[in-house]
Amino acid sequence: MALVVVDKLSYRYPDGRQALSEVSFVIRRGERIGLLGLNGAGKSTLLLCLAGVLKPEGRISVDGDRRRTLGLVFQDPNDQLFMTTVYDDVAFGPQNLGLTTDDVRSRVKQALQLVDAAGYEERLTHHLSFGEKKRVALATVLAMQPELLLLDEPTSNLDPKRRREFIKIIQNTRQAALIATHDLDLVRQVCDRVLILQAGRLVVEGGLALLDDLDLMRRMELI
Amino acid sequence: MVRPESRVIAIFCLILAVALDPALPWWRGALYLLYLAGLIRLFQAPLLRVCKRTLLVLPFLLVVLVFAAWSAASPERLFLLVQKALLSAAALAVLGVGTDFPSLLKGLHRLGLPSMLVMMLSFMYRYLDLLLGEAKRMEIARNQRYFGGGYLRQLRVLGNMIGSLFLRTYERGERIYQAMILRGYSAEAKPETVTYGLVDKIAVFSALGVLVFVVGTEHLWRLWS
Repeated sequence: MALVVVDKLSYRYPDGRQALSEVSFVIRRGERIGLLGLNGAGKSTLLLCLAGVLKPEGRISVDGDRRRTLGLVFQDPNDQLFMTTVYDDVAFGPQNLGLTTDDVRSRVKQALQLVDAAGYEERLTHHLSFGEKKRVALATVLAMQPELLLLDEPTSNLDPKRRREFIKIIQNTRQAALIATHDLDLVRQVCDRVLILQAGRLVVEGGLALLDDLDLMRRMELI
Repeated sequence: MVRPESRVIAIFCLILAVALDPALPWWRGALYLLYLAGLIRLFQAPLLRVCKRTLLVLPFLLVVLVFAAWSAASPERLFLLVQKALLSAAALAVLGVGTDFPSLLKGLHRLGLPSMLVMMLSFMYRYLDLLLGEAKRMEIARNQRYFGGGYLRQLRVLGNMIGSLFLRTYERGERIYQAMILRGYSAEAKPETVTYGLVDKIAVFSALGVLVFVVGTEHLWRLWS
């Protein structure tokens, strides 16, 4: 069953640059999709449009309340983590959902456990290492229990060990996900399907077998 | 643990008492010090750091004294000023050293500080490091390609650096706001309700006691007689 239907999505930045042109695709429940493309191809813009931050032309229909269904994790964890302590940050979303203090606490605990950061509650956000920040940033969105995770470059700038751990964490989440990335290994290990953007257009859509089509991948300049 | 809001009230009362004390006789100075020692114990503030933090007031005090040298103030009054400044600084140091900033903010929020202000202060605390780090990196990036000379052009470069730092900060602010909106922010966060224990009552009522004692014996008593 379709969770999100995107129909002829176009977006032009205020400075006139066309970032997305007539992008259409469907995300089904529980499905994980890798969103590939060069820098500036429109991956982040697409995620921002889906999350409702940018107002594009075209149609995005979400099964359910968009803000509760979709959870965007920014690429730079310093944008995502704005509260002073880890607890406050992870609790921020659930508190705004109007949950009781006890529910908020258990959500925070659960979310931190999911990202291997159990017991981080009282840590100061700006004292975390980059890898820890990335994990806690994911927890802030997991705590809201969305149906679809929108992840922007989740493994960028992580060392190989942290990267492997992070991929495991994403594998362990139960949500559908749209993952904008250059990390083909991540896509191979986590995703069911691939979308490739080129200069704002959705040019290729298909299964993981696409990644082994070296000719295509070279043409898309992804390897 | 004593709640931060109780600490704020206690320290505020103590500073008020010191400020309202007209003469500060030795025995009352001793009383304040003794009370402060009690608070240090109660707040579990490390003594050495309290002392260090207290000394931070010295430069300001020096400036005041230098200016006071030109005024007609008597040495006794200047001595009183020094005593009061040191006592107040020590009191603030006890608060600052024994309480971490995030929980202090929560305490102030519960005391009725508007949510917006709490949010802004917490952002300042959260992002100050980042902003300084960014400025530092920018400076390093410049210094690696700058070998002296051309001072007038350097001014332009500096202007550019400040400008781009401002733009980066502004854009980060935008992204943070987006992140907040996406997680359902609506500008009316309420502070969590908490319970208060015996230590909170001790801190607040003892401080009120000191304040009432000083104001009562020095001001009200004089008015009366």
